[in-house]
Amino acid sequence: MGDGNPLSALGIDLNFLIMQIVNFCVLLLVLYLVGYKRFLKTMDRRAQLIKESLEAGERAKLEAASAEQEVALKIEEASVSGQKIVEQASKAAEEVRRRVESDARKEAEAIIEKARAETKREKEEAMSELRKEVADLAVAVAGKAISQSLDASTQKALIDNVMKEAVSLGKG
Amino acid sequence: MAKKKGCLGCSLPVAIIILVLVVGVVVVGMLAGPIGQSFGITGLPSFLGVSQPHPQLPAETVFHIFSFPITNTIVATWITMAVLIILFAAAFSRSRLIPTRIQSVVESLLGFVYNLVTSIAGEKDGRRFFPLVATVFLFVGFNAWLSLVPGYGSILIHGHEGEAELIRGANTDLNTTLALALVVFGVTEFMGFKRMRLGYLKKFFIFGGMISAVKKLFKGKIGQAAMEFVSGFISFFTGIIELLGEFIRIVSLSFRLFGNMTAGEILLLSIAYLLPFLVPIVFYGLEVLVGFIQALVFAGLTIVYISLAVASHSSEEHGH
Repeated sequence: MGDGNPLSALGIDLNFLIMQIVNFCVLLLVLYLVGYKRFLKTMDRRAQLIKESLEAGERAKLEAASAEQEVALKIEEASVSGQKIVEQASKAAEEVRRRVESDARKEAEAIIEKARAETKREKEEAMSELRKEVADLAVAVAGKAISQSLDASTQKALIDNVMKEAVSLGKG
Repeated sequence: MAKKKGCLGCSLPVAIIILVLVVGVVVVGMLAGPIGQSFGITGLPSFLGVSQPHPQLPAETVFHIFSFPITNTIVATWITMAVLIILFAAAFSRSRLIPTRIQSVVESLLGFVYNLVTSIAGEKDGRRFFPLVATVFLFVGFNAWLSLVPGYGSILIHGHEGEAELIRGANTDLNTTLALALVVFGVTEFMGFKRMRLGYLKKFFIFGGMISAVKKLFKGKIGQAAMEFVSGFISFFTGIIELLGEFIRIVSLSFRLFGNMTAGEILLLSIAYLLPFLVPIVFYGLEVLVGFIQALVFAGLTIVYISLAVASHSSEEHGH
């Protein structure tokens, strides 16, 4: 242990000194490989993650604000376009109503006109038939008058008969 | 809220009994030891006393490996190394972003050192020197704390030089503290030369003032030359003191740690000898704190010395 060395009284020995230096260096190396490297890496990763999370949070906040703005804008647009659609629809409905009404009126008029024409035609037909019947009766009466002489009362009864028949025909 | 009666959470009679027991144990221990003997009290069982400590400065050889002697402080160094490596392996073998319990304990310790280092040397240099400073801190601290574990200084073996402790706190051996100081010195000077090349020597050998004085002397400005020579000589002298200071750091670092730790150990041995029961616990607590402070001082000075060597480089650059 180097008894001749003046430092040996304090216990200083070159061999032990070198050994302790080597021990410390080995410890430093092993701890660096086992711990410090991973510790620094983990710290960096953690710092990065926190930074990213904060950034993402900030971004999300901005996105949410912009989305909110967009939604508000869309709602306004939708409200405006909805109003337009309602206006257009009510206009179209009004148009349809007017058209339907006018068509219905026209149709009703046409039906009335047609009914009127039909009535007129039927009346004319009845009149012409009546005329024809009356003519036939007149011919028959004339034939009878011709074939027999009639007294004044018979003649009157005959005419009344003819007239009655004519009236009943006109009613029928 | 009901008010607690008594003392220290116990009822008063229990507290009094505990107090009497504590005082009794302390007094019996005291009387069984040298204090009792000095009062002429004998006859107490010998197991109540603690044998007289024989503090020894040099570490003792406890066994040989291939004829190379191994001292008890080297054994303690290996134990510290093993404990630290196992602790790190357990903490960082599966290093996770969300730390496990042991990982968070070790990380908080390392985080403390990391903050210390970066606050002194800045982020970039601090990060570079962090492994060295952290190892110094942990090595010194764990050497001190582990030396308080039962078994250190209490297991005796019969070696070549008589009875010796099998394990003795590594910090109580000058070889350990000197080795640490030499490593710190080596790294400091290496960093100084690495950053400044030979310009690092300008910090210690300041001839600028004297050369300028000689130039003025040749120009015939004797008065100015004399003034500059005086200031140049003072600068030169401070440079030499600075150079001596670099080497004195080795002594101051190693002897501060060695002195504090050895004194702590002797204090514990003496207290255990005089008052063997309960009282040493207080001093064990004190030594835990002393170990932390010494580790912090050694680690702090390490980073201060290195950053001074590095900072002188940047100030030199700014000067140009």
